[in-house]
Amino acid sequence: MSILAVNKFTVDLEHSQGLIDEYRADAAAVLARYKLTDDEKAAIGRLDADYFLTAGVNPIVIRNLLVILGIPHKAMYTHDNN
Amino acid sequence: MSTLAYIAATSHVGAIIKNPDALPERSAELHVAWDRMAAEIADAKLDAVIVVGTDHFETFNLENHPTFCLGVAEGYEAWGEFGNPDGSLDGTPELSAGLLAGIIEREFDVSRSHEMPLDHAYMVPIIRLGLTETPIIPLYINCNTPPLPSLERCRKMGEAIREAVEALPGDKRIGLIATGGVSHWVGLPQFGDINPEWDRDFLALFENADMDALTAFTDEEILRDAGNGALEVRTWILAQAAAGNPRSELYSYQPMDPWGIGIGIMRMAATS
Repeated sequence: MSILAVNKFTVDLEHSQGLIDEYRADAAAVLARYKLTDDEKAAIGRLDADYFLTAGVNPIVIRNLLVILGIPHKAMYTHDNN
Repeated sequence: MSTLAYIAATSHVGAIIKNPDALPERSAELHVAWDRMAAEIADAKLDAVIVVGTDHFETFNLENHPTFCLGVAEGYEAWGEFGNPDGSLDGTPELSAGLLAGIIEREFDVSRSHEMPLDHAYMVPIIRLGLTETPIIPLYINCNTPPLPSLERCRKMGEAIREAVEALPGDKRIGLIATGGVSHWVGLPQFGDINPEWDRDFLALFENADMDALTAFTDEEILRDAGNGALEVRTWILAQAAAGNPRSELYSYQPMDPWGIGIGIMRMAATS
């Protein structure tokens, strides 16, 4: 599990101006800049909190990632992954 | 000789500022307690305040992650993350540097930061307690990225801070505000749960000055019973120790379901 890469991606998404728009326009191109496996990139695409929690990503980082991408804190584990 | 002239602890959830009047039958009592604390702080005429908090992967990430880190900057910017308060605060580099030297002299090899942006763990209590015009000295404790400093280590850190403050020249009046806890689950499926029974029992240990019991919890017990957010009680234990382990006074406790957290507000008796 690329815990460091997930953390870096999350921080960049929150703090690098324009990155979130870039991600929404072309997610694959943005994710290619990070040392993530294909499974991890797919989990980011699904906003799959269970995957990251099981993989050992800090829950606060998972919260930050999902909230940045529009999933409310209370819906992290119940939203439709599709 | 300088003094720790005011010591207290409070929860720091962003909803305190963003949604202050939720569940008014409970939040009103909390605001009375915060207003009381703010008035006492104003009366204490502090030269600076040490704000002891954590960080939520805004400032400290995995590239560099200190266990303890003291801010020594001339000023601090707030992240304003997720709609939390932003703005700028004054630091006090001379007092920070003196405190850092004093803590290290007492065998705590604390990191320092000359640029330490602050998240809601600092900004919410600073704003709610009327401290925006008081120079601040932020102290970070790793409360969420294991391995964490032990509760016993945080107690000793509090004692070292007290000694280091008292060794500062200039008869300065320094405050210390601890922030975090009590029970809440962040980024976990249990988000929204609160354990009022655990919270009340835990807070009673401060009222009883039972430091041995406070530091006897394991992180596994805290995680199970009060959530990962309750690991922030390290800051409270540090404050209790810095105050000399007095019989502290609980100003208010309320389980705030709309905020997803048990809110505690505690005054540790001043040591001067």
